Amino acid sequence: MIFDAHTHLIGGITQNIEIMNRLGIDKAVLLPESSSRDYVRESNEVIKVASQYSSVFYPFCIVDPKDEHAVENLKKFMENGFKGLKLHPLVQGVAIHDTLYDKIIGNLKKSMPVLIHTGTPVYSMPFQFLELAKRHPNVTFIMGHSGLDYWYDAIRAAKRADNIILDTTGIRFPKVIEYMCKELGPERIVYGSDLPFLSADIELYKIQLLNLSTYDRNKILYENIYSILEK
Amino acid sequence: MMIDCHFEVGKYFFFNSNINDYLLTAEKYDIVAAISAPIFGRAYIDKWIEANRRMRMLKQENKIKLFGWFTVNPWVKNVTKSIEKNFDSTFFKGLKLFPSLQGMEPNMPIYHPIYEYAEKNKIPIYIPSGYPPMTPLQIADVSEMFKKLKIIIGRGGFSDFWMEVEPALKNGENIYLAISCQSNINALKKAISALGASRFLFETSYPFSDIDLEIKKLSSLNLNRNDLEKICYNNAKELFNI
Repeated sequence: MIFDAHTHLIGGITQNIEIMNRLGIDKAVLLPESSSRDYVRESNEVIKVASQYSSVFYPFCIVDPKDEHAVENLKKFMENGFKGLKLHPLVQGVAIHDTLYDKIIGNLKKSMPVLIHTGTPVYSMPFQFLELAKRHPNVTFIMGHSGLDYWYDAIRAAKRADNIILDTTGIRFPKVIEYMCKELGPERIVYGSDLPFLSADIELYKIQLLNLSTYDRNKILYENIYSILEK
Repeated sequence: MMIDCHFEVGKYFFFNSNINDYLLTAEKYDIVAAISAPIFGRAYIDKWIEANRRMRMLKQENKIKLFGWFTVNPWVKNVTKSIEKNFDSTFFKGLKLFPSLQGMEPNMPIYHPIYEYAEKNKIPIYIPSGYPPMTPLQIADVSEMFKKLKIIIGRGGFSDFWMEVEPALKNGENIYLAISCQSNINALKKAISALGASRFLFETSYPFSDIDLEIKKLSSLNLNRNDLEKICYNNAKELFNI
């Protein structure tokens, strides 16, 4: 079983489904494209698609913290069935640890995880992520891309806060995932592809290449994200 | 047939480059020549003389012809004299610099004597790219100053700096891109389609990246045979005179 913790809705869902079927990916977190200022439209498109494939997709909304209606819109999104929140500090022009995000995170339902892009200075760094995670210890934070080349910072941040989960999406050096597993345990890592932005074939192949036990592989490829979203 | 323009030899942290493992896997993919560099670390700071010596001693016992990247520390006085003395062009195919380890941007004047020497002697320069101080556009600025110098931007922009790859290559015909470590296949496809395949080079960056993975990425690019041959072999053959 494979559960992709990081896919996007970009220009239709057909290509995602074709690729998922071909690669044997059973379920996926579905994130908005996250590239426009119109986060309400992007989020609504995601919930529409996810409701048509409710056994496959777990919809995440996106909220712009600079919008005066952000909290109000977040509450509507939660009522509409979103399972998590995506934030993109780089696109939103707000550093991860900026207190602007606190009002959003503070209004989340208890079980809703937050996935945040990392690895792009100056707004999206692992230790900024840690600052936010420490301020909201009851929220599960998924570190998108595990800081990319700042993977060591990502591991350090995860060591310092139990509510941080690392996501393998786009990691450039595959062996880093093995090292993460050794340092943090497989329970703290989820597989992601960034489909269709990145190649799901390549991202999945990175996991397949690694010297991981069946237990570790199952945790990373399916069980961790499933238990976060179904708790 | 393929040429691997860049892999690294040595041990850094949990990255361990075993030359025999490398050769076994490389042979599987018909890699006929490969250019090795000392692994990330002190080889680019204070141990560069020893590192070059070690590279030069790599045994040529395999079907794969091994070459080397020569490293230098730009802070050393009269650095070009050392290059002149130790750069054995039958083995070394270029100079590799590592700005983040050497403490400055690649376009800074302290590097200029090296570039002048390399330009004059037709020696290509390889600089891994990624975060500052080695973004593709920072590296490309060197080509503005040294128009005949062949510069290879390594690791395909690495992270989100894939977005600088295409504009960097547009800075000059003397700039090449080695494509390992870049997960954004679409960005690479777009750059190759926009610029043609003549300035793209295959590299594995083993042991940081993985040889099998880099080969799989090549097939994901869906290139026509001509472009594939250019990227995998012909461009490197011509650039490095292999």
